[in-house]
Amino acid sequence: MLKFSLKKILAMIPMALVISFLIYLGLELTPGDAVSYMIPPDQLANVSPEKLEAIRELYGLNDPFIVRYFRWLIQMLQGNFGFSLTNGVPIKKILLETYPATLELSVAALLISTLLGSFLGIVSAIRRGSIADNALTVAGMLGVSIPQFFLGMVSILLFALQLKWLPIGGRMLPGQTDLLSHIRFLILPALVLGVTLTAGVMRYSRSSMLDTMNKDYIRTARSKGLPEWRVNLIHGFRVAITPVVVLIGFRLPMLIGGSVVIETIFQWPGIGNAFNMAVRGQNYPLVMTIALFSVFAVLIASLLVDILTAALDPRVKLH
Amino acid sequence: MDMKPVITVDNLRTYFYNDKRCNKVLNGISFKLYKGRTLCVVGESGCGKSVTASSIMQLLPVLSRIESGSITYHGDKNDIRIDQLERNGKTIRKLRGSDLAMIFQDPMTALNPVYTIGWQIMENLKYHTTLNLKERRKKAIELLEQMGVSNPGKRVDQYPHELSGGMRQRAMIAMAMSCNPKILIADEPTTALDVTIQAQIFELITKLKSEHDTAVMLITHDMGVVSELADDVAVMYMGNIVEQGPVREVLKNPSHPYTSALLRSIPVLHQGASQDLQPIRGVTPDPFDRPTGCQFGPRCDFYTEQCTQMPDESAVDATHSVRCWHADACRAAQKPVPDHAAGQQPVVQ
Amino acid sequence: MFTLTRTRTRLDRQFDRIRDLEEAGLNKKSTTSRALRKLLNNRLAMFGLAIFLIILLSSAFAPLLTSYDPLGVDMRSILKKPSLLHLFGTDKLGRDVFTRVLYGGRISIFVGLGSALGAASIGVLLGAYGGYKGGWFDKTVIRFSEIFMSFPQLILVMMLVSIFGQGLSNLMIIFIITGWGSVYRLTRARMLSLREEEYVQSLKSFGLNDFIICYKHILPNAISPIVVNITLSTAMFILEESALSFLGLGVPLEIATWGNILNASQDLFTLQNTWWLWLPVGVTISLFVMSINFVGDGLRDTTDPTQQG
Repeated sequence: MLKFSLKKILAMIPMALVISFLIYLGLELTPGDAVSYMIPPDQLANVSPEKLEAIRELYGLNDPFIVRYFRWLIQMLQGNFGFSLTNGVPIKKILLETYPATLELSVAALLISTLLGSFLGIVSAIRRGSIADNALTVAGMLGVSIPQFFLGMVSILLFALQLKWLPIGGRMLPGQTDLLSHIRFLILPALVLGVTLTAGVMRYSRSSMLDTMNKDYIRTARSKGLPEWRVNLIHGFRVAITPVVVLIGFRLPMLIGGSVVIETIFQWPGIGNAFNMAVRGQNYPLVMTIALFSVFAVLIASLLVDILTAALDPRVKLH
Repeated sequence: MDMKPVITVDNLRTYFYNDKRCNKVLNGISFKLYKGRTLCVVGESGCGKSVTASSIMQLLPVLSRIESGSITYHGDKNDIRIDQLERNGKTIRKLRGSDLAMIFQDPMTALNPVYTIGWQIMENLKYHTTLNLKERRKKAIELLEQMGVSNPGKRVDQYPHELSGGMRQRAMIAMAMSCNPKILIADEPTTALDVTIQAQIFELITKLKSEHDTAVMLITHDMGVVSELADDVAVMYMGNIVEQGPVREVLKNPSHPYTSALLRSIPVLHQGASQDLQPIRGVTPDPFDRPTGCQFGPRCDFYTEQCTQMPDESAVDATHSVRCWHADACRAAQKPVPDHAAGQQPVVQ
Repeated sequence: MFTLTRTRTRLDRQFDRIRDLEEAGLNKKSTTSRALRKLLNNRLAMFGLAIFLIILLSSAFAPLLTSYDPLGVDMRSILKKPSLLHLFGTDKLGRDVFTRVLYGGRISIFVGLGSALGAASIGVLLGAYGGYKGGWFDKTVIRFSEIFMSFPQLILVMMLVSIFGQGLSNLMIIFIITGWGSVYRLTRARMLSLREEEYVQSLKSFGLNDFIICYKHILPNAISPIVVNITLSTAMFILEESALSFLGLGVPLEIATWGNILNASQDLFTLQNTWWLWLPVGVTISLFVMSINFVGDGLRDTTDPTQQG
């Protein structure tokens, strides 16, 4: 298993390099100097044109494209992510401040979707053709069809403004750093972010369960006189879960992308929100850096899903 | 030899309901299973052999049911009407795995791929015995050894895909026999295996039968297997048992045109290339477009008007019965049937 | 002559009906094509098709249904509630919301469908040849598509918008660039299995050129999942366009699209008090996308041979 994981990690590296190159290319294409944002803004402020030219030479900003790319790459690897165009704050600081919020939101949404979606999918499969099954199918369709931001707006109207059960936005009140204390703020955004994934997981669980329950080993399990719940879960869902895990792996990028919209609506101070503001403010360095890291997040998540899939199914060859 | 039956099937009808059609798969079959005896149920694909097994185990698919008739299990203390039991209810679940056991055709698909074979055997023990974890594991290894699995201590922790076909089937038999069932139903257990392994598996089943006095119901389409292993045989065609009785009797004196036609269409080992093989004319009818009365009618040499009515079961002698109006004519017209038993030579030393 | 004495269930009653019909000889095989029958029986798909057509045709024939101008500012009727005069009320500039929804539909649907078709064209073209030939071409393109698929779609789109700027055609080009990957993989996968078929071997032995075999002979057999994909992609792109426009980064705000209409409704006041500015549009988008999904699913059920009848 360890060898398997290491191999997968090594395979990721070329991809990561290519993507970093593309990101750099994007930086070059945006208006303004591609790399000057790497220089601390106070050094650039109020300099005379000659001094500026000297600084440019110093930082190698006049070198050929490839050289600039590698300088940029080395800086990134050393942890210097440059400075935001809007307010000069180091980008690294921005990311460190915002990623916990996004992580919290994404993990919550992922957990809710997986658990709820699987449960509903199993129920649909076991009671195939029943009213519950049909209702859930339609509900699932609805779930993937409603625009997330619209659902967000509706739920804010309903739960926050009309019923006043939950707060309107924001992540926490000052001092509520512990998860449990600000969980009221998390519920609505996590649910809305997870709706699409829940619907997908539900649908996949259902069809995977239906496939699995037709298999011979289910009949064998029954022939041993095992109770239905055990046949369904221990024999059925245990095998059916693998394609669902693969699906979740595929849909993780959407979860990360969806957080951009959700964070904006719910005023959730995460990376998605920062990204949105960056795009609107034409803060290109921040836009590209966040995009780069979002890809890394996706790659790491895919790796974890691969490992999980191999752990779940002993038939997957580890070499 | 105990002549009290363990299972009595009486006039069983099982209908399938797929695609809004009604398929009368079993149309009134009756037979008995006895301790320590092997009943071979033989017939072509689609004649209802597997459905008979599923009916006894109450493992029928959702879109089907036992229409009428009875299946009675004669347990140690009392008789239980299996057909009246709720599917997957407590009673039948207690019987399955401990009194009634079944092994299936393809061990690769019949074993759960994500659990070790030891785990799967131990699961059966967990639900039907009071052994603790250590004892269960010990028993599982013992069982594998009894079934002839080499290196059982290592195999018990392996997954089905890591074993060979023959070993997988032995593992499944170990699982089925783990609680010493009174009845073992084997649904074409060697069809998916090599011929050399077949002999070994049958040897194993015969050994178990005599050691544990199990009643074995062996489903097969291979007459060679019947002549080798069966004590009794039931020949099925399109949902009816057309002839049944002790195997020597039926093979020597086939009284149903289908039985004798079957016997004549199969080559006998070692009798040479000049055997006179006669395939059965016609084809099996579409289950939704059946002939009226005796199902074999259109293909039968002895067909008369009377055959549009399904024949009752008539006795040829005390233990041998047949469903045919023209049983006597059939027997009289017998060319000497090739003796399938005579041609057999032991395949494995 | 029924000896069943255990409790009867609903299933039992259904079985009795079927059995009695069968015995009376009334169950005959039907002659209509199985695929057509399945589609028609799929009530959800039919329902979806109906809704889809209603919305599509309303947008297409917008001038027939409303006499207002979608851009027509009328400062005398600001923020009026829905009435017979204005079915969906009016917005902050006095524009009739119903009209804007109808005309907006044209753009949104055009963007969605156009992008889906564009992405499909590229994906099919590349995927058919790549899947058929294999080799370095296939390997390169697959790596390429993997790169695009590693980006969360929305983030990639927003990034490209920030580099290349907004605009209707820009948006569609960006959608096509980000969306061709899935069709490519789909086509390629189908190609991989179809090219092993025997008729391909015989075509090759006749000396037919690769392009002809690939595009003229094999591709038509792979069409059905592609059609399903186009339907579902349209739905996805419509949702994306509306999300982008909602954020103000999609189609320029002067042009009415469903997302743009919602863009103006982000604040809490509008949310609570002038619900007609955003609720009907949102419902329209949801219904339209849902109907596309129903139809797409129905098509998939019909063309998938592994599904039971």
